[in-house]
Amino acid sequence: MRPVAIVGVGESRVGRLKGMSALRLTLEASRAAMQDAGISAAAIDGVLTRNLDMDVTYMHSQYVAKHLGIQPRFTTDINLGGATAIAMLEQAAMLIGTGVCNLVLCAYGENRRTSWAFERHGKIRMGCEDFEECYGLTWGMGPHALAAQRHMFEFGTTSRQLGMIAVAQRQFAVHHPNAEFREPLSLEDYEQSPYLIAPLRKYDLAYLFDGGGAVVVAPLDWGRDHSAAPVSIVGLGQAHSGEHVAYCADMVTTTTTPARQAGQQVFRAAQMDHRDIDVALLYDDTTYGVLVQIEDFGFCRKGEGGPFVEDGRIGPNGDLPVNPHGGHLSQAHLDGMSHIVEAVRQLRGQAGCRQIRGASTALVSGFGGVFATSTAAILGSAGLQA
Amino acid sequence: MDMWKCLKEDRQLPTPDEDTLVFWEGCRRRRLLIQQCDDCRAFRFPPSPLCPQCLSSMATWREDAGQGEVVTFCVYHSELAGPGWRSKLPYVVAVVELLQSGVRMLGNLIVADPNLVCIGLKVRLGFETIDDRITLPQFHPDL
Repeated sequence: MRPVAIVGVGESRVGRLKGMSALRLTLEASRAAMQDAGISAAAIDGVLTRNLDMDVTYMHSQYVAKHLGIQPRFTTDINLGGATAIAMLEQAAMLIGTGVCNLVLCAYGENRRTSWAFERHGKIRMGCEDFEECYGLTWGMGPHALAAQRHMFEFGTTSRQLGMIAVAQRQFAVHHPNAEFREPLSLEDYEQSPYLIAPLRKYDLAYLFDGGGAVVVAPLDWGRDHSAAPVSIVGLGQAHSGEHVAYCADMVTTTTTPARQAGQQVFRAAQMDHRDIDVALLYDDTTYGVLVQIEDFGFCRKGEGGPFVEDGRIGPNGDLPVNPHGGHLSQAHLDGMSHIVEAVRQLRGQAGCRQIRGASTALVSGFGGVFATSTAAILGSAGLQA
Repeated sequence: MDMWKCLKEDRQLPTPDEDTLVFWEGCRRRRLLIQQCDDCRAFRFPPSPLCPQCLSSMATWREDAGQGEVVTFCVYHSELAGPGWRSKLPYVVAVVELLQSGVRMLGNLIVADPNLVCIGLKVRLGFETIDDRITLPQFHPDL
């Protein structure tokens, strides 16, 4: 298929943005991405969005397109939970690769922190009430705590090791002007923080905030002609555990996630292996999510994620810097969209104080429905292609 | 910690539907009913219209005696699930593997001291009546 590249990225402000609608956050991120790409609405012929979690949306992508003045040839909503951001990249790559579209906007925005949707629409069903939430198991982080407990039991992983992930990502976030959590965090702070869902502590969990992110995908040759720094999409992967969040009993008792298969796919597609990755943007609902993906993407063997992070390998001075934007844990939970945005900034050398020197290849991942779905992309700075 | 506005209500309760009504009716009568495929004999939970192993639509509801073992668990020390859970803190959510049918299900493990819970703990089934419509299966240490 025709090689594709990301030619524009944008994000809105993040945080507690009371009064900012999900639509507004989506549009502001989209405008920033279009400006970054140097294109107008008329040039875009594909629009991909994720329908909102917090509000009732019908044909959301059309709504977003209309508000941006875009008349697309192809538009649709994709919802694979936290795996959506990379699924949008793959859909864009297919649309461009098959000649259906030329320039595809992938847009995301939610105001999950301050949304008024509850007042408007009442209880929102996620589809996991019947067998999970009735026991006080919260969506997302609760299943992570169950899985982390099992990982600790099987491999001796410790809370302190998880804490090193929280600390490493915070070391990056202190340099990020658009991060929610910028005050330094020490391992002592971590260990003194309360267990909220034992074995996970306060700093093991990512908190939902308001914000948006967007990217523009184009043919690579278009990017070379029109863009200062196109970032190639050199590989994509998507795998499913065959489970849904409402059936989480099995997915939380195995210590392996579909990131293993998604990783095999993406490395094969890019004709690379884990040693080629300069920076990893790993989807992080919790610190445990990072740890299990370090194992499942093959950066270390199963069960050795704890010692791997203990050796300081994922921080600013490590050989595998992870989530230099602070990730969901320290920047804000934007469902993985910010992971793509940061990967592009790193590969363009535009990440300021948190720039990973010489970064030319990035692995970006997504997790949807807790551990039901994994997506992965390998991005490369201009010139790199599989 | 205001995570999800949808959790403002005191407690999320099951809404029995076409596929789960028999299960919840069983719970109301204090019986744990698990589907077994008539063709390939596989047990499955939660209830579903077709057997995920062989796609047969023929199944029989079998009562499980409710002896099981903790496969993993977590302990809530905060009311992330909503203010309705405040009075229950700390509470334990466990994945239990049932010995008879082999299926795994979630439940609260009702214990005085969560520090005594461990993976491998033997548990037995109990029921918690919520209202005249919903009774939840729950677990207790099998001492």
